Amino acid sequence: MNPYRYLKALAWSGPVLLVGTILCWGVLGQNIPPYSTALEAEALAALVREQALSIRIGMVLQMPLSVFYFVWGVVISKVMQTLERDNDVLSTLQLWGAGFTTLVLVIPCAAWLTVAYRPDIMEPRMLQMFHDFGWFFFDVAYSLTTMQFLAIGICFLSDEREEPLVAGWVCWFVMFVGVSFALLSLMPLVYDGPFSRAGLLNYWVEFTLFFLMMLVFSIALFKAINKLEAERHAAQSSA
Amino acid sequence: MSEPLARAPRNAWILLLLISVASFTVAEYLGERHVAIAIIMLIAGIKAGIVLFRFMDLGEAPRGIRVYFLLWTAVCSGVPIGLWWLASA
Amino acid sequence: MPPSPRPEAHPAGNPRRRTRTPAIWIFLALDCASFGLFFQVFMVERLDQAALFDASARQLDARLGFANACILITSSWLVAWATRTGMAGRVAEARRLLWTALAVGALFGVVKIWEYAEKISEGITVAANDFFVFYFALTGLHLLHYLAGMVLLAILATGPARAGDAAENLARYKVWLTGGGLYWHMVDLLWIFIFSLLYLVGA
Repeated sequence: MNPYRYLKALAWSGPVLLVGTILCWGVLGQNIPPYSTALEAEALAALVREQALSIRIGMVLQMPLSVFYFVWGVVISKVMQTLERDNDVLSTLQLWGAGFTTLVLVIPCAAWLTVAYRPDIMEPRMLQMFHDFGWFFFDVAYSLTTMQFLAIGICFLSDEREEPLVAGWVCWFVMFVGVSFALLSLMPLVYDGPFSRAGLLNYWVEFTLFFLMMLVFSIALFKAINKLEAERHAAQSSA
Repeated sequence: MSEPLARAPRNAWILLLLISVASFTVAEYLGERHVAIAIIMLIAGIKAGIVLFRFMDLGEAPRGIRVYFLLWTAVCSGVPIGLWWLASA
Repeated sequence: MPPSPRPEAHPAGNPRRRTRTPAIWIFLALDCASFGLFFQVFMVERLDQAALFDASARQLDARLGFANACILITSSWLVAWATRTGMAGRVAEARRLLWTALAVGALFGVVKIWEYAEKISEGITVAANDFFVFYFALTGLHLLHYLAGMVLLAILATGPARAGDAAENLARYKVWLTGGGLYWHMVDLLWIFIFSLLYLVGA
């Protein structure tokens, strides 16, 4: 019996999603760098018309790809469950957080896809509205992800091993990223500047942090699974 | 934990209050703004240093963390002075 | 999930683990880095509109900011004192100090609410101008940190868990006390700079 079967293979969903999202949502979807929030409807429509095919391809790829976030979340929950003593509330919160975040990675893409589908005949203000809607869903629903990140951090910090499954600094980093999303609440209040959704803080800093978290925690997750497997082998050979 | 640590850092607290008053006074009454800004931000840096070393025991933290927070304090108090001067130039 | 081979439960009681540098320093370092970045972005945004920023800063009541600086310094000092007594094993005394720190700290919230209410009644909101975007963003984020810190202090003030092994509970309590104390000092540390930059520099 191997309780960790499939886990390592499935854990690759994290890095795959990370690279895929940067390529599909970011590069093809014209979100790296994003369109300025200050753009007039006409100007935004012109840009979208110009890049419509690229955006469509990006979003069509991103929407199915996003399921990997949920797969990754399930693997994280399974590893968390090895640490849980009294109940499984933290791994459950994490799992639901991952599931909801997956929707955040899917539904806004549908809005952006809508925008890029008929930009030639779409009223620019309508186009701008759907574009805005996509961003608000994408950014302001951050508490779903914050909940996930806090559950991860708290759970792995409770590890009593001499060498914990996930290092303390990783836990604190993950929790910091989760908490830092609170800044996104300012996004709907401004149209320009560092707090706007395309600005220095609310775009460049926050998104870098999110991608960095996925990178750091992907590595930490592989290490944790390796450690669990090594402990199982040690226990089996000594039994 | 060694016994000296059990002492409350009372003097640090009094010092912090005193220099807070100083920086408040400078901000309100010193007419020469270039000098005032520099004094305000330097005092902020010194206050941060006192909190870091006397309250947070940064001196006992690993070297990397110590260096990091010293740099952070220097940047937070120093760079705004430069940017303020730049804006008024 | 089948049980994994569980290492012997010596959580906080594990001396090697306990003397390690609290990993919360990483969180503090990152948090301070982001506030440090906000400070510089604030000053850079000010470059083009210094007159507007200064005029707006004069609309703030520096006395309230100053009062809050003194409140946090005092509360922070009480927590430093509590941490030291707690680490020396005098838990009852530490808890009394923590309750005092909590009471002093509560004043910060009162002043802050008063200040926000005053601003909003004057018609000044986050939409007023770029200065007030930063004012509400910086003080608001700091307020969130403050609220989390107050919750932490309240938890710490209730003392170590009573059920179970007393020595282990105390060891665990000391870990939390150190981490919670460090966090509360950071709330103070950040206010020192927010107060200087927002209230004093433009005064």
